[in-house]
Amino acid sequence: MPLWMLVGKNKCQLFDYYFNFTAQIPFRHNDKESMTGIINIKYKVIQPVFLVILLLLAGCEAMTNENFQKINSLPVIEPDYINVTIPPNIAPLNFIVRENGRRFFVVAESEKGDYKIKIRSGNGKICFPMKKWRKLTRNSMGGRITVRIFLSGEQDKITKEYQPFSFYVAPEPVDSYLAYRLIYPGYYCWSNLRIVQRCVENFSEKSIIENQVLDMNCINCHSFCNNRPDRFMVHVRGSKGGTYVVSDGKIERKDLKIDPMPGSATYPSWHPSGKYIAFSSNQVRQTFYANPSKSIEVFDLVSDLIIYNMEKNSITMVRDDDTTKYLETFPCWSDDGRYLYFCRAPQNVEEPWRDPEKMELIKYSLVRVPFNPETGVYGKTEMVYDAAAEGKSVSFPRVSPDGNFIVFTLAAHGTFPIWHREADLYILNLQTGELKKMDINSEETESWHEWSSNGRWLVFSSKRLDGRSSRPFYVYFDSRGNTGKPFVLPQKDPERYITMLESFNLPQPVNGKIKVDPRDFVVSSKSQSVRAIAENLADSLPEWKKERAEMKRNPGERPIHE
Amino acid sequence: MNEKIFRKMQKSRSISGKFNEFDVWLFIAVFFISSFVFFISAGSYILFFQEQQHLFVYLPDFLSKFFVKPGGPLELAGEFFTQFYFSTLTGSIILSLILSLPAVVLHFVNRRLKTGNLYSIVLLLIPSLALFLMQSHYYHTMTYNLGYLLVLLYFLFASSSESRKVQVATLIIYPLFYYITGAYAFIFAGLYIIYTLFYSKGIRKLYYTLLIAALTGVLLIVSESKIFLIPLKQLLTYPLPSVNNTTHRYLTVFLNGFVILYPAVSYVPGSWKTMKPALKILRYAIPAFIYILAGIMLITRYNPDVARVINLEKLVFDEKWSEAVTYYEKYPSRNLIGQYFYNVSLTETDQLCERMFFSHQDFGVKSLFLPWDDEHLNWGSHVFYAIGLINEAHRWAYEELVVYGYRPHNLKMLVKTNIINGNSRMAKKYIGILKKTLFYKRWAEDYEKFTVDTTSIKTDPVLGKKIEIMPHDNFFIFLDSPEENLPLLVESNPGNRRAFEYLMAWLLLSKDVETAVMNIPKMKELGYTKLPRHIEEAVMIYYNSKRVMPDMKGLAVSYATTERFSRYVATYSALRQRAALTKDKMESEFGNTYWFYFHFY
Repeated sequence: MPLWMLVGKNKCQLFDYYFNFTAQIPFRHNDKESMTGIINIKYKVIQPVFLVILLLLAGCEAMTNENFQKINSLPVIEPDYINVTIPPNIAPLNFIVRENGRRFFVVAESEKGDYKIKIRSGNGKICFPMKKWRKLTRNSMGGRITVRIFLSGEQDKITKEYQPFSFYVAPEPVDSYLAYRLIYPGYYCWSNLRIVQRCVENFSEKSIIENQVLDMNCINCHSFCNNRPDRFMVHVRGSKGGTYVVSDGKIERKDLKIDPMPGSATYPSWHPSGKYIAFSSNQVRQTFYANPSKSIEVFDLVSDLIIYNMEKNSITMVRDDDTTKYLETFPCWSDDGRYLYFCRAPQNVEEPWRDPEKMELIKYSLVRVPFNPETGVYGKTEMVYDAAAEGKSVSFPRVSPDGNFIVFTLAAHGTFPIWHREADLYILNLQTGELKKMDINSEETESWHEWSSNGRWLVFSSKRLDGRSSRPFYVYFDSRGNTGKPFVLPQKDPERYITMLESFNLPQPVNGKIKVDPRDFVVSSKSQSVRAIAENLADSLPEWKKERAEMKRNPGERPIHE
Repeated sequence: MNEKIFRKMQKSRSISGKFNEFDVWLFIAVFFISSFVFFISAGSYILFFQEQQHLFVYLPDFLSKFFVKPGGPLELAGEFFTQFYFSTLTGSIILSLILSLPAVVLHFVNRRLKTGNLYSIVLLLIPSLALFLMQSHYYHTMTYNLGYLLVLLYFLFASSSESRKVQVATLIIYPLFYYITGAYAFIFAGLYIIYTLFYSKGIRKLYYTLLIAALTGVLLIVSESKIFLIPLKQLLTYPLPSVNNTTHRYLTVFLNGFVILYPAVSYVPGSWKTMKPALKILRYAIPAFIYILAGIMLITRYNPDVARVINLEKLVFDEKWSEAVTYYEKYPSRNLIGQYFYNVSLTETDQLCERMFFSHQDFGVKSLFLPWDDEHLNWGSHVFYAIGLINEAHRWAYEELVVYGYRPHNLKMLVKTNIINGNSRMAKKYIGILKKTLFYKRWAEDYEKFTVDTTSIKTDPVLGKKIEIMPHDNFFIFLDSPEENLPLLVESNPGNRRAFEYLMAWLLLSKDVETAVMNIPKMKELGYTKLPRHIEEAVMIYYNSKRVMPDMKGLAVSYATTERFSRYVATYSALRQRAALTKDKMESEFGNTYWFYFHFY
């Protein structure tokens, strides 16, 4: 291929210069050896170096050529990172260009124009170098990064430029780690389960706990106190069963199942003081739909709320004078720990597992009960949002760290919204009482959300990518309650989500590296679990709950894991 | 080694030395050919079964899982070769080659050990023969064969020279060998210790023995506590053979012991000082005897019933329903899975109530739905797929994937069920995985078109039929009593004749003739113009009991059935006095009727 084709006609001048330059090298025609040496240098060193420089310039020249066909539409990229708002400390947003083209050029430039990254790709995969990315995002805090994508066609002659898009870089960082459970979004069976921590500033992912060293027990419900890496808990179900509480570098294995409880301690919520953990105690069942419009319904036969006192190792059941039978679940503390929010539904539907129409009658509302952290006494339950009256059902409330908002999942009915395609995230302003649907939702399930420690980011699970596997999404949340466009947790290989079947279950932002590892849990599993004591011993499980709590499971059914 | 003994061995070698090389290769060749013939014919079901247990996917996520534990790379190699079982010819060649290689390796080892007598030919054949017998069990995987082969290859290296360099290199490479082969390294350690004790000189015996023992201990401790997140029990046993079969276990123990003690066994000097010409025939007779013995063991271990069921499984997985029916009726089995597949195949060909008693129904209603457990997870989806309960077929296939990993048939079922359910994105995901395989890429590409042009699903003769019989309404699936789904399926989609016939089959196998007959009026609504044969037979039982015909809404029992029933009654009455003869006699003439099942099962 003639060099002029590689470098473009403009660069031929450089080529000529090269020859002129070398021609101008003085040679001592009386000193053959010197002449030979000079010539050798020219051919062996200068020429290849110069050719490399020319080729690089050729590439750049193609990108700076203004004779592009400008397309007035945004490119299709996967994952969709177009116009998302990102934290300054996020890992590179690697993506794949899903357009027809031979080669792709991407230029990502800071708003001030003082820094840019250029990437060339032959297969559409755009992977930003880590150091350059960090520099770019740091330079763009509070502003934006403009991304331009260029395509070259079959002949390597025509280039196109798509409409540029942006990464908006928020000034506030996100918690540096994300903990989640990797699990097949399945039904009854499980195999290898692990809860991992992923550093969101790079791509490193490390196990916190793995079930293959715990007799293949089920591990679930990881929960962090105030997003702290040194204070969290996880449930283990099976031969090594218990609630493993990590605190101050130690892991304590606790048995939180006491007789009056209908089931094991399930959905946890740490009191901001770290002194209490609220749980629901559920007998959970699954049932399966015949029609393809739905797949699974997860429901509670019976559920109650308990508060576990870490200092006293005691459990109090949250009781009400109300004689109505209720299903109570998904506790969540307010930011100041003076209220316990939870979801409540009247338990007035007979055998809902027999009939989908009956199941649709189960609707949870959002309520709260006042709580005195000093005395551990709680008050009367108050209605916060009567979703049932509107024909909806609330799950998984999460209060923002500043106490101004509460985000929950709203579905058509039932609990466990991850299997409800219509489940969306709603936000309630606790100051004004305004409720609105968040504009971050999709046609698929959104749920399992959690606030970052600074209250500026919300992480949530969404099945929008393939309709079945949940992926962790981040969305920016400013002080006025406005959100940016959410983005999926970036991966080193942007194709990872395409082939990966596991779900990222219950993503929890953590503001530092978790120092315990699976072996620490193995050591702890060998110790005897510390059984909690019941504080209000006089309470026993009412008959009407006992019958339901003792209902047999279906063949092969084991405790719920997603 | 003792100089005197060495010279003796040299001498004995020289007697038959000229023939040894040829003999060795001859016997290895005979072994290879015999193995190949077995696996390409009677043993082909083993290749199919194992190929279906694993799917080799060329994806980083799939491949990386093999590198997180000792022995993982060996298992990866095993699965890599197993994928070629897709072709019986290629698979037989590869498998026979791998099984023959231990003999080849030992032949070279023997040169180093200087065992040159006739006895050594037998010794070098034993591991290959043992592996061949173990391989005749369908759960014995390629990984196991490769493990033993690698042990012997490593030993070949270790014994190639007595020089310090080689021995030190052996010890240095040992941790890597442990990482690659897992617990097979312990077999090598035992082998190496025996070799050192018998063949090394002086203090080196102690050195190397202690070193490798210490190294093994350190590797285990470090692996468990620092490097790998694997329980100690698994580190000690993975991936050694673990087949749940007594003979296989004995063979494993024997093989492990033989391999470890091989240097000691080979050390026994040959005693063929002089060979009379007449005795030279023994150099062929003894190995031949060993082969015959192995052949007898193979024949006694061979279970034709298992082979037939797995061959039937192949036809079912290939959706060759008519061939499956013909095959099963030709080679009936008393196996639950076989009879289950027969019922599913009859359903897929719309002849369940026409022919189900043409072969054995030994398990009653249990052969209609398999119980939910790990053992039956592989197959349970097929019945639901056949009767149109696609969500449940999907669930079984998905659970199988979660428990056992990628398998060709579960991924194919997930592709089909997601396409039928309209979940194109998930179907594409599974198709994407299948496209990253050598032998299922084409199948995946054929189905990919349904995710692009979803309108073509309804016009596809197979998938379209499934859409037609899916439930229109929603109901919760009965898990502990799957037969209760059948009336709901029929109610939800009155056009679903397959579910209806499955319901009728349930009633017939339960001998609930009355309820079966009461359902006949529904058949008119379902578009039947004539009664299936076994329903007619049930009507005759009803009539014989009640003396009145049920309401059949215009459908009638054929003359052939009434005539056959008359003969049945007459024959039964005549034979009733001689109970011992009755069943056999009735079976020979009426074994393919519901009446026979009703009376004698």
